[in-house]
Amino acid sequence: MQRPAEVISGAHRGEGTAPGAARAITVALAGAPNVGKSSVFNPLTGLSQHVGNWPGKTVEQKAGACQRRGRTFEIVDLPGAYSLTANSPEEQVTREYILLHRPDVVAVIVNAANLERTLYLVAELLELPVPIVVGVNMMDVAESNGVQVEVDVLQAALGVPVVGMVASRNEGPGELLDAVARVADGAASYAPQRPELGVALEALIGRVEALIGDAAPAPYPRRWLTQKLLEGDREVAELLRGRLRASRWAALDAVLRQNEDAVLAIASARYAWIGRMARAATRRPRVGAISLTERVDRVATHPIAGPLVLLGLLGLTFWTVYRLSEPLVALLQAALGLAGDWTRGALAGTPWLGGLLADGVLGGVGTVLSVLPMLALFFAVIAILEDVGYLARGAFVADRFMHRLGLHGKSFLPLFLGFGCNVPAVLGTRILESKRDRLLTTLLVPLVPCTGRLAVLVFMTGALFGSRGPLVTLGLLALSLAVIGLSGALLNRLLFGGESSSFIMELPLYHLPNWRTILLHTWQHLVAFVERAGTTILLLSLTIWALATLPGGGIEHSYLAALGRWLAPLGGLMGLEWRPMVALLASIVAKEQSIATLAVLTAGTEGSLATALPALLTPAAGLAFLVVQILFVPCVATITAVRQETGSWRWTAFSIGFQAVIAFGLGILVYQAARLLGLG
Amino acid sequence: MISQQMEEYLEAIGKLQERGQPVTTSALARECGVAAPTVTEMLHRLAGQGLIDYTPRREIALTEAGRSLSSTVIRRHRLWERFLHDVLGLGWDRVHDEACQLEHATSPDLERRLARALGNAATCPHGHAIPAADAGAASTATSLLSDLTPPASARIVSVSEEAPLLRRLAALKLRPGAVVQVTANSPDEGTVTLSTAGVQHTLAHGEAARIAVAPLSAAEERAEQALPLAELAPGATARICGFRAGRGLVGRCLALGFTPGAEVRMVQNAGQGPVIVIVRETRVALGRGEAGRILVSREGEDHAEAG
Repeated sequence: MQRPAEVISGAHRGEGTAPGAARAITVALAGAPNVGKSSVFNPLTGLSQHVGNWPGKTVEQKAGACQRRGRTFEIVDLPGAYSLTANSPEEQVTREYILLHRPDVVAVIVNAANLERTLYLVAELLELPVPIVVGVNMMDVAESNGVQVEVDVLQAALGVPVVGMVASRNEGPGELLDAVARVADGAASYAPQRPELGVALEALIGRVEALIGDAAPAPYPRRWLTQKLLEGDREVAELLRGRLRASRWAALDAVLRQNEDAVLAIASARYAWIGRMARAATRRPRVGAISLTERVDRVATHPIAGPLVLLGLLGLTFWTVYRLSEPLVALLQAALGLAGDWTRGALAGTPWLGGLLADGVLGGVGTVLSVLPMLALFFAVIAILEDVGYLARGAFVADRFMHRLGLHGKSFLPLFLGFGCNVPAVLGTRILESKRDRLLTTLLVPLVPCTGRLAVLVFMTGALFGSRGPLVTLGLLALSLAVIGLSGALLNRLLFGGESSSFIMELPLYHLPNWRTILLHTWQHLVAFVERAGTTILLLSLTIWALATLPGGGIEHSYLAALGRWLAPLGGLMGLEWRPMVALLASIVAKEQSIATLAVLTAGTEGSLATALPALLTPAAGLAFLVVQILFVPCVATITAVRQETGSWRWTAFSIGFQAVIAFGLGILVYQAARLLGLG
Repeated sequence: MISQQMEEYLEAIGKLQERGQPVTTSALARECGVAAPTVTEMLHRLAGQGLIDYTPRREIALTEAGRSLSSTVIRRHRLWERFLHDVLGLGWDRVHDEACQLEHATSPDLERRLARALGNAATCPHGHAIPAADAGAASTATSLLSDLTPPASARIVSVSEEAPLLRRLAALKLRPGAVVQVTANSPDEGTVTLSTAGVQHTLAHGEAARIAVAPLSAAEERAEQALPLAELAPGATARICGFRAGRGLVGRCLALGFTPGAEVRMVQNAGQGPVIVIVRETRVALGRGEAGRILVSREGEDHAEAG
């Protein structure tokens, strides 16, 4: 069997298939956002999933394989797309995959509770020369909203196999694959209806098709290209401009310019056609019932109650995460301490090796790994909020505030994700459609206090300020939120002249979360984090240990100390001596590393780091240290992500420089202010 | 035998009739740019061929054969104009003269192929109806822009084919299909003030007299009275009637189901910040800016969905 990754990255399906065996069926899973596509994909493919990026696009690519009735299905999960016009990278990826890779069957998922709108993609796919099977998901949600979908009627109307599903209860995905196999084998009756667009539009389409003539490039159907041209699709226009004679293109362009309103007519005609299908296939026994969604939204999107709900949920999220992870974290740290002592004891004969393993390896990676329980809970809670349908409401509520920063309400999602980890947050900016929104959000995300920083924050405020620790933590969090707000407004004015972005998004119906999807999501993100922690952070931990040990003669004479002392003038302004400065430098590689570094640097002193800290930092210096800690470059992984999402080293350098100025500037300010207040 | 010149006269008569103007010797002389005696001589020849009914000092009428021939020439002329404009990219101020030459050298078969290649286009680039192959020129109930009493809204149907006028109108974006609001009309000053797409222009009365307009249809009338979605009160229902937005936003709106004719219900509108609407049973959140660029009409109950 092929590795799922090769299903996509390989030049063409079918290559490398074992001869003799029944060929694997390639299935592309398509659908609009919020149709529950991942709850179809996840139970089918489970842990065989491979998650990556679409080549050249910042869109997540998921593929996996599964067996059913002795057949192998290679399933590619296409990103959520409302249409096949290139309005967003998701829509580009979807149509490119379907047209260029030609899966055996496209399985389109629609939402029974939103049949009309989600059938729009089906209407577009029916124009393509690829067999399709339709899965009507969320039959249960529809029924609780008083809508019954008659699958047989829809099947007769569309002329393609239609399967009813409740994927959240794992009802239907199997049957969907059976239908896919029947279509792939040619065993099912397959007579797709093409959407009727009306006489006037058909005449116009005929006219444009005649002008395109035989210039349509190979995999693209001429009729489809024609519709996209009339819908004003720039990508298709460029494609054809390059292939048509200049005079022919001029004629075509003139017709298109005369028919600029065709885009409205085509969408209207498709929806009119869909409306007839949907009306025939739905029954509404309970008309006018006030839905659960409506009742919840009266509170969740209320101008006053909405923000309170959002803040409440945020608070609850953090409380849950810390409360539940605390005992686990304590346990892990105790175990690591014991392991370190044991290692040192067992290797008493060769102290350098004992030091390397206990201080370098266990001290570094161990600290990071102890963040894992917190991270797992974070990913899970966010996945639940998203699956239930709340995150979109959060974006709506947040839009009023985000708008002031020149940001899209959706920017709230990546910024919120940033509290878990900046890396997925930077990667999450791809949900934003405009390049400008993505860039601005990408520049702000690294200022969000992530769990790594929060862990350091909670640990150090506890050690330095005792019972007033939580208060200091909250104050610093408030400071970082204020900095994010001001930076947003500032960057928007400086870089984009203060214009604001467009906000239009669907609010899905609330429904029960699918635990399997949430667990899988959490697991995938955890694995990704461990992979990162296991490589870059171990390496840094060893480097720091080496820098702190070499060239010998104690840590006071190490290379690291030399670097720290060289930065002493800057540190002096913040009341920081060379060791905290070194810890801040080390935290560029991974934020959690500042504690690990301090642990390594103070390993010579008696007792744990928590008791050593107050001797190292005065309260004012501690505050300054934490301000820099919370605002300075989060980690190399985030830098890598910023580089990847902006596609430019210049923006990456700008991002780092911006954070350095803010972090050290505010650090100095806070230290001097705190000293004036007598905290020195 | 019908000469090229005779065809020109039949065409001119047909056009005068189309505009609802009296077909007299002097009107024809103006239309063809010749002296009245020349016209009289030609009218006798046309009558001799049985193409017109001609009694001196009376209005001229086409016979059945004359009407058929006249509409064929007009049809060929306007098909050529469309072809020259759409396919060859000639300016709309230049196509008339070229088409005048080509119309006489067109065989019935060429005419058929031309029509087919152009997707049986309905009008010439100036907005005049292309007569069907088997019928006389269709006449639409139009009036002249110069005859409107302000305030009035109307849609431009066609414009006179004079190159300088065409160039000027093209620059002002006053093409067939454009909706104009006449705000002032003073024959004394010789000007007509109107606005189109929010821009105000002043035309000479003589120019306005060469623009044919039609009253707006009920749907267009409603579109004129459209209000931005952002101004719809919570609980109110309206129908989408258009957009004031770029391609990108329009595309996204359409895919989400905001198509002309579709019903939207305002769920939440706090007067500031984003709004929530229901369109096609989907709840959609829109920024205030976006909601301001979607136009809706409240009196839309009888407006059936397009398609």
